[in-house]
Amino acid sequence: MTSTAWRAVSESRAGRGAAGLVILFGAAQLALWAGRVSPAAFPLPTTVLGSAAGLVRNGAFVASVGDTMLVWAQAMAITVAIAVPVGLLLGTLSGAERALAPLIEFLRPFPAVVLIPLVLLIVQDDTRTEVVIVVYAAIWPVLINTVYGVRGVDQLARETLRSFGFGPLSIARRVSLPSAAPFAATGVRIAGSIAFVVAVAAELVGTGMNGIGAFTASQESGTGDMAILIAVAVWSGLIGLAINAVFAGAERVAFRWHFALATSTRELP
Amino acid sequence: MLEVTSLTRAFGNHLAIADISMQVAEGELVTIVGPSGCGKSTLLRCVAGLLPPTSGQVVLNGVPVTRVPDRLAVVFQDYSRSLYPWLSVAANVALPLLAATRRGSDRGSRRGRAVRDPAVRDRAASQRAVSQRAVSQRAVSQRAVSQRAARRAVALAALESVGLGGFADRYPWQLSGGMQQRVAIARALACEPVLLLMDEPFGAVDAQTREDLEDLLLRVQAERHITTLLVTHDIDESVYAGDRVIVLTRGPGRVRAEVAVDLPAPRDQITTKERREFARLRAEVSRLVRGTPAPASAPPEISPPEIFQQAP
Repeated sequence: MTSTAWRAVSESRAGRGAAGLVILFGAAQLALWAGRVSPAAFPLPTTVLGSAAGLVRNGAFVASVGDTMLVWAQAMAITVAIAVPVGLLLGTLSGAERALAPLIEFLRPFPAVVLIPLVLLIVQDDTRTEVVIVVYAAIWPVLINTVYGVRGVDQLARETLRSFGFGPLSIARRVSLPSAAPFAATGVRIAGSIAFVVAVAAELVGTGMNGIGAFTASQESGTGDMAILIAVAVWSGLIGLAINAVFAGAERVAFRWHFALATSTRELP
Repeated sequence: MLEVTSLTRAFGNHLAIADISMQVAEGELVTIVGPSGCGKSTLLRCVAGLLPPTSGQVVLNGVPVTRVPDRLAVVFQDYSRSLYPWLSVAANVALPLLAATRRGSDRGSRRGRAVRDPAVRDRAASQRAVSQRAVSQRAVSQRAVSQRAARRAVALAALESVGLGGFADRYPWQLSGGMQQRVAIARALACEPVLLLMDEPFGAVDAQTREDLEDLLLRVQAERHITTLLVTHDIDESVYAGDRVIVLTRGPGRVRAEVAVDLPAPRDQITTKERREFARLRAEVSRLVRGTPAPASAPPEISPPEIFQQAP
């Protein structure tokens, strides 16, 4: 590798991030090798890596990832289908928003997992309970971001369209919707990460659910292999990262104007 | 053509404009100037039907304005907020045509006087061709496509007329401020307005660009004779661009005076402003805006304009 190419890699964000990981990994490995911590109490990073690689060939684990992602996808679809229209409505009707704001502020901080027994009583089905719980946790960031997006729509942007003879519905479709969309999308990205975390947590706590959380619980009570538990955590972290990266990338492509505007206003006089 | 009678608008207890009456003739370019906070923008928004007056009325071509009238175009000062960043330049310009077609107004009969402009004539011909094709195609989707093509053709012609022919597929935020305001002007022209309202349209660009845009407006106005009401706080601009200047008082805004501008056309940023007549008008409007009385003695024969700016 030439020196300029090396510098480009070492100065890039990803390059620095990777360096941090390698250093942490190496330090942990050295500490364990040096006998400071007994390998029986904590597995070697190389052992964890081996377990993580082994999980890819573990049919039960792969199936559990599929189960979790299926619940995640269903919950995200329901979340968007509910939160975006409701957010648009609340953002437009300020009276309704003011009436519902205290209720939202009260419901929002509930730890969703606490609601599992209650929802299970109502829904009577484990998988559907999990979906409901995940939707409950994921709905708030989408709802709140959409409301703020609609309320932030520029008055002059609306008035311009009104002056060309457009009615309120056309203005909502042609101005309010597109200018609120990037904010709603940010809400969806945040909700995507929350939904995954809550899905795994629900599976871990709830009985009779499938997915990554249930797989972890079974490993803990079964083999008690710490390396596998850490490997599952590593894979979960990577999936969470991937979800965020996919949404962030989609935002950058779909709302190029939004990011261009955010950066260009700093340069303009 | 446009008749404003005893127009008054209050916001709560605050009176923004009081008892404003004025008339604008067909094809005239009237500038409205006044100190800041004189209700210039309120007046414009009442004329546009965006804001209902507290009392008095606005009549456009014999019809009282109770809502936004058809074939109105407004150009606001803040181009970055009135252009839509998610639409390309061409789509921004074509946007008002969408409302025009939805209103079901007969676009064929809208041409009238404007066919003197060759760009407009070509555009009319291409649109006729497109609409004839539309009749022969039964399918609704195909008609929608051809209507979109027709709208785009109108938008491209409008962009061409403001000197932005090559920028149709850029986005507003990729252009300079002056170019963005040209896009806003093109958008106003694209819907062939009977009345063009401009709210401090050149207030946010640098001096050089402002002069270019003033000349663009005068050129377009000379070609198309669109009745135009231009609100500004710039006294030079009010005299340079206007056929007539209406001076408003400090809030609540009332008409203090009307000044006829008899500077010859075409106007030129250098030679027109060099004229003694320009300096005299500029001083007259300046005094009216500030509310300072005219000096008892006649002004000196050669009066550098700077003197009036330094006067208290």
